[in-house]
Amino acid sequence: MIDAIIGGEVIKTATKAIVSLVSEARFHFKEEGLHSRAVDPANVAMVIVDIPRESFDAYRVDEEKTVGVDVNRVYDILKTVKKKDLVEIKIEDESHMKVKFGSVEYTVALIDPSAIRKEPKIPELDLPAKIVLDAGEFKKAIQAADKIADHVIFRSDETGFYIEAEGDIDKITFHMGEMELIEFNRESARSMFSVEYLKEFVKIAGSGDIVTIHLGNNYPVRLIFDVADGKLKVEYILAPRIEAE
Amino acid sequence: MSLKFREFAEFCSILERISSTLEMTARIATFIKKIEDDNDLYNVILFLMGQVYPTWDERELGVGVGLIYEALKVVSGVDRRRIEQLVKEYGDLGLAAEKLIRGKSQMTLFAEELTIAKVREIFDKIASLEGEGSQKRKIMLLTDLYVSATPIEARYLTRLVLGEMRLGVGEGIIRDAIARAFLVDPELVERAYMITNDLGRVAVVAKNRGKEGLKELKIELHVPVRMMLAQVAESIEEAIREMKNVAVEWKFDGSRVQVHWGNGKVTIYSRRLENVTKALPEIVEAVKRCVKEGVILDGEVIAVKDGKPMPFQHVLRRFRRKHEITKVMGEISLIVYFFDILYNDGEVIDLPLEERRKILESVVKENEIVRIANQIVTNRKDEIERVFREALDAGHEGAMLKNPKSPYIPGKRGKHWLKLKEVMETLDLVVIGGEWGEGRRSHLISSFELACRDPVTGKLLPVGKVGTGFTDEDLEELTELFKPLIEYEEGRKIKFQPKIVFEVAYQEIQKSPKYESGFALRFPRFIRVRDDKSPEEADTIERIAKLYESQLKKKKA
Repeated sequence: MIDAIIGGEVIKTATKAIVSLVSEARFHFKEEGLHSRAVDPANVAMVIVDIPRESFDAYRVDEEKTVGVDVNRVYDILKTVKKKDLVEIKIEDESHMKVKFGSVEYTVALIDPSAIRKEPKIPELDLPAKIVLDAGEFKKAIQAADKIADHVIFRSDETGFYIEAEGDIDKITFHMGEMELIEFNRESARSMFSVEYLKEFVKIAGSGDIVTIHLGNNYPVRLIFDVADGKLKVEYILAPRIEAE
Repeated sequence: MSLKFREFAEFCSILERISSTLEMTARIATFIKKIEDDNDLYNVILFLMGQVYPTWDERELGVGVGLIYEALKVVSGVDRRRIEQLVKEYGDLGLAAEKLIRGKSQMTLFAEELTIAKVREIFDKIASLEGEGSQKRKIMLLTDLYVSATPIEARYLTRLVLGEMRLGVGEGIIRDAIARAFLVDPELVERAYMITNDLGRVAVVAKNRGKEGLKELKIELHVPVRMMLAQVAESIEEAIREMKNVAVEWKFDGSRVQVHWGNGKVTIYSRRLENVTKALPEIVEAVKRCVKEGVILDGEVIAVKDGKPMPFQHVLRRFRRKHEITKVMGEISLIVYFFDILYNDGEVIDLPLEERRKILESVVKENEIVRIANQIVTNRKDEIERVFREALDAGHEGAMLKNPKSPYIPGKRGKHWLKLKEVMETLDLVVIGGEWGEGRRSHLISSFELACRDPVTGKLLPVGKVGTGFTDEDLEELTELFKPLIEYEEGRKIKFQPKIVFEVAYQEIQKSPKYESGFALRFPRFIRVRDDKSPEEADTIERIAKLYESQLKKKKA
């Protein structure tokens, strides 16, 4: 039996992060908290969601359990949750999950976890550059790039961190120097990524949230978002695009 | 470690460039000889022929062009319109898929190398899906394949899923390649194939147990056996001279069926060895009631309405409509006429027909649905002619003349069985394209482009279009039938996957530079859908050339 109470925004954001890539996922209720991860069908991006036990208002897990969740459905239900609402999640048997907030209790059918696409191993990546910045600023840059191009270049050198997008006629450069960045190790790196994916990722971020970027050369990027007042950690790993010669 | 799918795909690309049958056979023999794993061997044999399951297996992928488009869209990030454009440009979804994968600029996080075993595993998963949400899951599984595929693998994966490899590799080549690879007589391979209808299984037996293993393969219940076929009788006199005594039966205008009844269940196969059990529930019930268990029977199902036989299409229509059987059941009743037996608690095909007939009579208790076809044994021409007339008067096709001393030879079209028919030359042609109608018929596909086969290259050669002979009801049914086969459209024109065979009548065959075949049909008229024939059984360019020649001779005479 699992019985957990959690802030509305935390669980809503967590499900939102997952539905940006897949519609179904395995939820692992562990001693240390809730963990879920999934790769999109095209194998281009991975999402890893962790809600530590401390982020719950109550967390009772009699026995560690993995369940298959129709995340689309749950996200749909949670859309009406207010930031301050508390959401209770209850699993008493293998087949259903109860989601309760306000005076409504939803009973959602669970999916056989074995019917869900195999869970990925988290790849080990050696990424030289580490950049930490305000997630709201990052979001603005991606949204601006989306208006003119379908891909962006992330690059860093001792002068700072750059996001560059080039459309047919327009060009956007986003630059933050060391002083503006929260943390920066001054390493050089450069890779190109699809805006289609990035614009989905940044949906969970707001001003005041923090994003940590680990960047390499023509290599996948790790984007770690600390959101919902630091109660939720969402990590995305995104494969690069090949730069045309 | 299973064989890499890439090796298979590269091998296919070599075969695709070879036109010589001999060379192809030799290459395939060398390739399959090297395959260590039995499952790999089985799968490669089927895959080379563009099959995922033997035709009689009830399982099927159920993946149409639409799902492939969806999966390719996910993997390549290219929209459907652009993909359709590529298909038009290349005239082949396989090549379009290859191009899309090659042009992918997005890298992936993981790529798993595809093996034959992995592809088989995913195919089996796809085939097992049904009901709500299955389309979505099928797209996901296809996506899994394409994500891991190299460009050349994408080409052959696509073609395999669609069931057309475009290699020109037919059953004959595979049979000879198996014989050559495992040093066994091709005749033996052929026999084993006619009995099991699974060349994959035949190859595995040949590899592991050679000649002896193949000889030991026996007819089994619920595994269809290739049906014995008949030649056209030259004349009644000739038949009498050849056979002495002739067993004469009606040639029914119905659908050939092979009924397996044993281990508590009945399975019915069509002439193409498709499992049509679900389309014939009343036959299943009647067989259970009237026939001794543990047999395989050969017969013909005919449709009857108000006591009169209905045209053959009415039976076929039921085969096609596997799902709404109860709706049509009331309208038309079916009768099965059995005329042969292949198995009676063991193989009986080597017994002469006259003895099989006795066994047949002993295992079937006739009622209104299950009958034994009437048979007379005679050496008199007038008797045979009488039966022939009777059959025609009753609305059937003619008479069958069989040698009472002959064994049942699966898959054989020989001199032991002859058919006597009224002459009307028609052609069975593959439908490769079509056109939407105009005005009142604008929602219907109202004309169809036809092609014959070139047996050497495996190519389909256009011979013209048919737009007459259809009722509105026909067109509605055909439109439903063809919609899932649409590869792409261009204005009113449509390109289909070549899966369906039409029987068409015509006034004359003409030489024509307009079509790739070099021939054109004058006034073609639609007769019916040949559900019992696969495109591989459609008429060849050679037959058309022959008909053209004989037409010339007639004109001169």
